[in-house]
Parts: sequence; structure tokens; C-alpha cells
Amino acid sequence: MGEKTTRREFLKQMALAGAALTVLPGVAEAAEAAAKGSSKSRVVIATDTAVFSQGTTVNKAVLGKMLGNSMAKLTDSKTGAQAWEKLFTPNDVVGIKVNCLFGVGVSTRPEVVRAVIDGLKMAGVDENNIIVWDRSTSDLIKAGFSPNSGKGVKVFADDDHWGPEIQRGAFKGKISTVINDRVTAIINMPVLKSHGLTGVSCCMKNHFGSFNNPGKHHGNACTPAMADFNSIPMVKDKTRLVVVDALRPQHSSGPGLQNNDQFNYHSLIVSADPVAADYHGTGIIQSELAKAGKQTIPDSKLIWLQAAQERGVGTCDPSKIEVLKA
Amino acid sequence: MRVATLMSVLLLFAVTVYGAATPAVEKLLPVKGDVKGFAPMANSLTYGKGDDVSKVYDGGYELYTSHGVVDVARQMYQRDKNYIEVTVHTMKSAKAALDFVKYWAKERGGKLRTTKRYLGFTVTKPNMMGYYAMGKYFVTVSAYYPTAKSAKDVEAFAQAIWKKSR
Repeated sequence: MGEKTTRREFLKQMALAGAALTVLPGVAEAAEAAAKGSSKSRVVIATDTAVFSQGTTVNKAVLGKMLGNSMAKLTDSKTGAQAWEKLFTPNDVVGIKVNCLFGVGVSTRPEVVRAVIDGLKMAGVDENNIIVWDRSTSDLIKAGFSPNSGKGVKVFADDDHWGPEIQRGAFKGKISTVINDRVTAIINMPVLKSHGLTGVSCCMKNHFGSFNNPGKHHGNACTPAMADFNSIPMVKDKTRLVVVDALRPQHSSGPGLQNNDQFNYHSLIVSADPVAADYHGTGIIQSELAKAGKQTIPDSKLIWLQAAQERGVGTCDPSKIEVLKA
Repeated sequence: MRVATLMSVLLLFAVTVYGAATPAVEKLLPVKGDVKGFAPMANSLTYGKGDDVSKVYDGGYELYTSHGVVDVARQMYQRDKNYIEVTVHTMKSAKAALDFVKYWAKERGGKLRTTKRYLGFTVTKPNMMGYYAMGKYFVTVSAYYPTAKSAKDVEAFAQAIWKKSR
């Protein structure tokens, strides 16, 4: 994986990230503990084959249990409800970033988002203060979400109404108003799939729907632009949780849908560290490629992981990641 | 009278400039009234040429450009709670359009059929979707509501685009 960040540097980065959360007493400690878990970034995997019934229809009860158990494990809580209370408060306005670009089958499932919304409600977050968003309304519709800017959970897109232009390193673009103006916390909810340019699309790539000009940032495996965007303080510091839909990932030919390259994995990946979650997700894709007798993704396409680590977004050093099963 | 003449000239000029600035592929997208009950959704038009095909296909765009896509225009349409998305691609040649439809038929497990108008196929999973070669254009029409209701609408959109492509 190339040059590694030293433990001291890593802890310093995590401390800085934690400091930015001190506006929410109690949440900072929980988020930091969740992210570090004995000085390591914790990644929790919940797997249950019963999550699919009749093909790929999601069993909501099983899914809810998987998420609750994952959250409890992530935060060392006795119950899922307690875990949600550790990470979110009734004062939060929470943005849930989904990945819907290629429609049903290769986008974040609405059922998984619904389970997360149920969790936020356990923490006392008002459903009027929950925003499910992506770059365009068309994409949300394609993935099975119903646009709503009225009462209840909001489901809407930036479309062509972007926030201010931000430049950070190789990134230069207009950021989502949801991130800039509206939310106190972000839950990054990608779907795990392959990607032609970056090898894998997961948490960090999901934010290519959070600014106006993704087409301008795809060069060199999206590096360092993708890491730069994810390191923007308001993005990094507001990201309190990632929940990866890994129920049925796609190992090749992404990011568009290719039925033959999908495989049932029946899992959710939950973490507070998007880089650690991406690193683990990459391992899942690589393993499945090997099983399928296909060429695995070369390191040259995965350079964004190291770039993100170097910018303090999280860690891709396996010795600093604690993987737990829920 | 002079004012009316001046206004007419300005209007003609504006229409000419708009026509020249609008990519040919975008002109193939149906407008309100082309398919009964459907109208384009606001802010849903996307156009990309060359590497900017990534505006539509993100990191998967090289699959399209390597198969001969020159530029692409996409628009979402709405009729109450029924949504249809149309994507029209200019290909480098009519053969490239035919080959790309065949490629997708293989990938999606679709059965190709030839009509007097176009070569294409439809699939119903995960949603109702039609793929068509219309001369040098490669067209996809995706419906996001049940197949029983959407199959006819997908066909109606395909026909509306075909009429414009002639």
C-alpha cells in the first residue's frame, strides 16, 4: 500500500477530527471511540443470508436486526438503540448520502436507508431533520426513492442548485448545499461495487454525487481529487457514520449494472472511518474477483486509499483497522 | 410596425442561435406532447461529449466511448408518479450503434428484434428498459414503474425518438 502514516500521526489526525466534533458534547467521544476502538478504526460486518427472501427481496426485519447489532458492536453498546443515541442527538440535522446514479440493482437500497432512518429516530432525531440526498432527482427516482421536500423525511437532490465553490488540493467544484448549509451530521451510505477507474466505488467515491462537476475529477484514478474532497473539513468532520450496502455487490464492469458480475454477500459494513470501510470493501471485491478467476484490481487503481489516509480522512493500514463481526 | 419587424428579426436570430448551439443529439429528445401525458422534468437534462460522457456514466464512461459514443443527452420525463428516462447517444457510425445494441443484448440477456424502424430489445429486470439502434444513434429508454403499465410507454418513446431521427 506504499508509505504508511505513523501511529503518532494517525492519532493526531483522529484527535483533530474529534476536536471538530466538540460542538456536540458526548457525541465526540462516542464517535471517536467508534472510529478508533482501542486506537484502531473499527469496521463491523453483519451478515445474514436470510436478509434476502424470494430472490433479492429484502427482509426488513432481518436487515433491521443486522444494523442494530452492527451499531451496538461499533460503539460498544448493549443495544442498537443505545448505539444510535451515542452517535446522534435530537438536535442533529442528518444528511444521508446515497449512491443512485445507475438505478435499481446497483444503488443504495431504500430498505437499507429506511433501517438507518429508524435508527436515527431511536436517537430522537426528528424525521423532519433527516435528509436523503444525491446529485439529481432523476437518480433518486431511478433507485426507488420518492422525492419529498415537504413534511417528514426529506428526499431531494441538488440538481443544478449548488453551494459555494471550494478548492482543496486537486479538487475544485461547487459543493452540495446539503453539506454546506443544512446538516450537522452526514451518514455516508454507498453501495459496494466495482468502478472502471478507481477499481472500487464505496464511501469516498459516493461523494462524487456531492459536487457539481464529477467529470472533471476522474483523472488518475480520481487521485488526489477524491481524497481532497473527502478531506474538506465540513465533509470529514460532519461524517459521523458510514453504512455500506453490501447485500449484493458487483465485482466487475461497474459502476453500471451488470447482472452477471453481481454476487450475494448479504452484508452491511458499518464504521465511522470511510477509508477503513473502503479498504475492507476493496478486499471483498478483490476476493470475489479471485474466486471468479478474474484479474484482481491493480494497486495503480487503488492509490486513492493511501491519498485519503495521508490527508487524515481515515486509515487503510490493516494494522490499524479492527474488523468485527456482528 | 418597425418595432414588430425588429422583434421578429431578434426572435429569428435567437431561434437560430439556439438551434445552432443545441447539440443534434439533444434535439432527438422528446418534448412535451410527443408522448401523451409525459413532460420533461425540470433540471433533468444532461449532455456530455467525449470525456464529459462521464456526466452521465460516471467512471463507466470509457465503456461507452470505447464502443463509439461521441456524445450523449439524457432527460427524465414524468406523468404523475410514472417516470421514464431517455438517453440518446450519437455513435461514430450506424454500425457502431448496431454493434453496441448487440453488445447490450448479450450483457442483459435480451432478445433482439428488428422492425422496419429499428433494431432493439427490451428487458424487464431490474426495470423495464429498451435498447435501440436508430441509424447512427444508440437509444435507451428506462421506465421506473411496473412493466405491465410501462411497456407501451417505452415503445411510444422509442417511436417518438425514431421519428425525430429520420
